[in-house]
Amino acid sequence: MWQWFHKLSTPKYYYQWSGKWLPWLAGLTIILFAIGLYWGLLVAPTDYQQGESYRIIYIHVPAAWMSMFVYVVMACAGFVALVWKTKLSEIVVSECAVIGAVFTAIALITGMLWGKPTWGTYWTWDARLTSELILLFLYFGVIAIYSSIEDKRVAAKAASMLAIVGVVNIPIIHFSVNWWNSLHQPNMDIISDKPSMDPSMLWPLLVMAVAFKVYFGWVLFMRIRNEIISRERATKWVKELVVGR
Amino acid sequence: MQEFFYMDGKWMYIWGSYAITLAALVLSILFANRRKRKLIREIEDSLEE
Amino acid sequence: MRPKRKQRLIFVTILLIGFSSATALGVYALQKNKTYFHTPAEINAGSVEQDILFRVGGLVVEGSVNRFDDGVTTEFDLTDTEGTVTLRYKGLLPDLFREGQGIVAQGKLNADGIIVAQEVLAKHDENYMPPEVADALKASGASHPENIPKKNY
Repeated sequence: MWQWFHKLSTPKYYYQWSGKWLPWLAGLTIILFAIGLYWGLLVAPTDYQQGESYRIIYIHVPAAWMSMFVYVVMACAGFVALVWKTKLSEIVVSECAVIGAVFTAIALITGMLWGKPTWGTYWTWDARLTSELILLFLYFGVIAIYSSIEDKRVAAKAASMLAIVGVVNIPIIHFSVNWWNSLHQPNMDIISDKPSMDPSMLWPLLVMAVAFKVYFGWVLFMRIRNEIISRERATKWVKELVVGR
Repeated sequence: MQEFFYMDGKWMYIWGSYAITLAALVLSILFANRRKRKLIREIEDSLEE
Repeated sequence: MRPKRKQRLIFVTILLIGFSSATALGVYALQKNKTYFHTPAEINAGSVEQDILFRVGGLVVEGSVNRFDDGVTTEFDLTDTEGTVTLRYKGLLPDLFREGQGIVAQGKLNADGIIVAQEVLAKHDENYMPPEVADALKASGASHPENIPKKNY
């Protein structure tokens, strides 16, 4: 197991291994999105309170979950990058920062578009909204540090440290609705046998959540592979790869 | 069908959210694809020299 | 220091300053919201003075919503079950505004003891269900768990 991990963390081996997964991730993403969108937009019933506006939940909530999930992945990779200094984990930090920032921006924008028709405002300085905005700034911070330091190894070290420190924001986002009782709704209960969402509406949400996760795997693999080729362009295996295409 | 697109008057918010999200997700994939093609071309050029 | 490196250093410094001030601003905004939040019971007891902006949260009292003839002004009562205040709001109310709904408003107390609201926001809970299920739930006598916006909004 450890040996396999060790092998996987070498760029060349990772490149070959991830290449086999790409078509499966791409296909699964498209299928899951098709099912989730059809189910959420056409099959799921109207909400008794919010009417049609609630349908934004099918992208807002998965994006918000991903914004936190990707951050934790990035922080773990940052930890590995600091302790074991593997090249691959350094690349994971920089690529997660970009993808995570996109998910966070989606969560914020769709949240605003949902807030206007339901709450009556696009934005309010509520604990959940503010902590999610700080998450976006954390991603920007990691991206900026990475791109502003020329030596990529040094850059990875500094960016990883910010990524790890910023992890404190994740429980703050999750519990903000309990600690401050914000305008934002409380966290949904989706695991008990009496969930806070009717099953007819909950299932498409879970499909969309899985769709977002698989999409993340797809785009992360693509970006890591690009970064590997870019950094290793002088090596023999990359040259052979390009010639042998 | 018209009712579906009208979304009870909330079409701007709902379709706006979906359009922005899908655009962001699709563009991320297209950018990654474009970068790969560009990288390969660069390395090919450097090999020919 | 090489000019390019210096430029990068300035960039990172500006970024960090921006980041920390944004965080500070957010925390400040949260604290401010907390300070200016009053419950109807507190307002009844005279916790706010006239012409000072504050926030109030509670449930819209059933049967209290009164729409004026001008078509844009609405008057309604807000309760936290311990006290009741009257609000007046000129403007479009959010779709979720209805009797029994939890709302958070921002406004000032006028000379007549009425809160003139500048902003009325509706709060909803985490329960989602089709209308038929909600009706069935109501018919079976189960009370809908609506939460009153608490003190520390």
